[in-house]
Amino acid sequence: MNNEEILIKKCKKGDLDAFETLIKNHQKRAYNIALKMLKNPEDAMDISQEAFIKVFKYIDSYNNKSSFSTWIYRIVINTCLDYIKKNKNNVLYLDEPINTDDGSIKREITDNKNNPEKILEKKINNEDINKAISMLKVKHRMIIILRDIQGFSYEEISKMLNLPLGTVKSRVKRARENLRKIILEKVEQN
Amino acid sequence: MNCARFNECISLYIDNELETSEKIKFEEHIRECKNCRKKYNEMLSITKILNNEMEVDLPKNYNKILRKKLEEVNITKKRKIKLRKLTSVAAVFIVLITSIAILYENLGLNKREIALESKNTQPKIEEFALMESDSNAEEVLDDSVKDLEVKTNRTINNEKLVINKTLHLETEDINKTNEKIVDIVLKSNGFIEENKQNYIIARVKLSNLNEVIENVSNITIIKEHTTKSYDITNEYKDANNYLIELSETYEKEESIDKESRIFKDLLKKYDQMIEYPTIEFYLEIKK
Repeated sequence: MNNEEILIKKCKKGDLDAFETLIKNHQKRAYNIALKMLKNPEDAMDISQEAFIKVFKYIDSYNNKSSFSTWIYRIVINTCLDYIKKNKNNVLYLDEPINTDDGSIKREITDNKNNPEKILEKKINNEDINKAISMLKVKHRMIIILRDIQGFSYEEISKMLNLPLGTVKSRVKRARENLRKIILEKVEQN
Repeated sequence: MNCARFNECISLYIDNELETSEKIKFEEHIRECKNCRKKYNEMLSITKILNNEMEVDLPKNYNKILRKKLEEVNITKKRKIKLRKLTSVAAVFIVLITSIAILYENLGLNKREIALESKNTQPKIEEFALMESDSNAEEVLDDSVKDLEVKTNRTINNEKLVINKTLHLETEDINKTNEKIVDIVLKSNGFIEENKQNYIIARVKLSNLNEVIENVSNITIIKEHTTKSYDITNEYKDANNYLIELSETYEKEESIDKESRIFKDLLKKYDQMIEYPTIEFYLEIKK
């Protein structure tokens, strides 16, 4: 029995310290997925925590079929999607850059080369990217977050979203295409 | 490779998911076609920007708040675990219920067989039957639905005995005697469970038991009089204690409600059997 399995066993008996250790490496990622999906830090905290509570509550039903992290993220994703569904009327639009405790984030674009490939990067800042992402359809937004921002593999995404691999690939493609269109429009506007 | 096909492949190429043969054609087309090259570069840039997105740190109080929420959940969880342990006791009662059913077939467990034979005489008054359970027991044939409240002031100090009597009767007129017996039972606030002319199952209130038998002896001959007594004190106590434990788990869960109902019914059944002992009447023609 490896470390993770030992911790899971303890959690099933209600050991909260074991649970905190278990989720330690996943918390930041889960929070950031929620943040990108829901756009504001308060919701991101609530929803990501709700997901972790579900993980703890239903840990008895974790049956080792998928990896534990896959299981966690599946719950995080579903909790986000459920929340979005419930709050469909609140259109999520980001007018300001993401504000954190430390202040807003502005990505620094390294402007070391002047070649064509870098031109697009120069023209876009973080604000635009996040605005563009928020304009995507929910399922496209989710997949961009998982694939391009969080870097999960196609296989992992396929398990988390419970979709066939082919569907994941085509959805990534379509999401990126849509994102490109939105960003190019923004660049033209600027 | 044409431009349309190239378009389809951009995403996969970026993720290094293209097969080698397609990959080569793809790279060839990049070199050849300006438009497609531009498109590819744009996609690549966007992906790189996204890849480089910095992750935001957790808010400072994140773990404190999460811990509080988890503790609340844990209390509920631990209660459920306790309940699961109690439920294993329930399995024992399933055996009990069946054994009570067997009881009526005279094959039950824990029985103290006290056979008393009396020929043509008044039956002996069995003192053990005269438990003053009237004051403690409730009116259990009342069908009103009670709340899920356990009457914890129900003291179970006295024994809980279920009494079954079998009377063999000799008569010159079965029908007449049958009618008279039914009359006696009903007049004593008992009831008839089954009547097959020469076989009657009657339920008589415990406090009226001896009176009924005395009345019967006055109208016909009692050839044989057997009494069986089953001690269900322990089973009764256990069921009642379990019910109390359930009621202390104040989580309004469907499964708990269901179980409580089952055990309330069980206790009701026990009370019924105790309060209304069974008398089997066998009627024979006098030879």
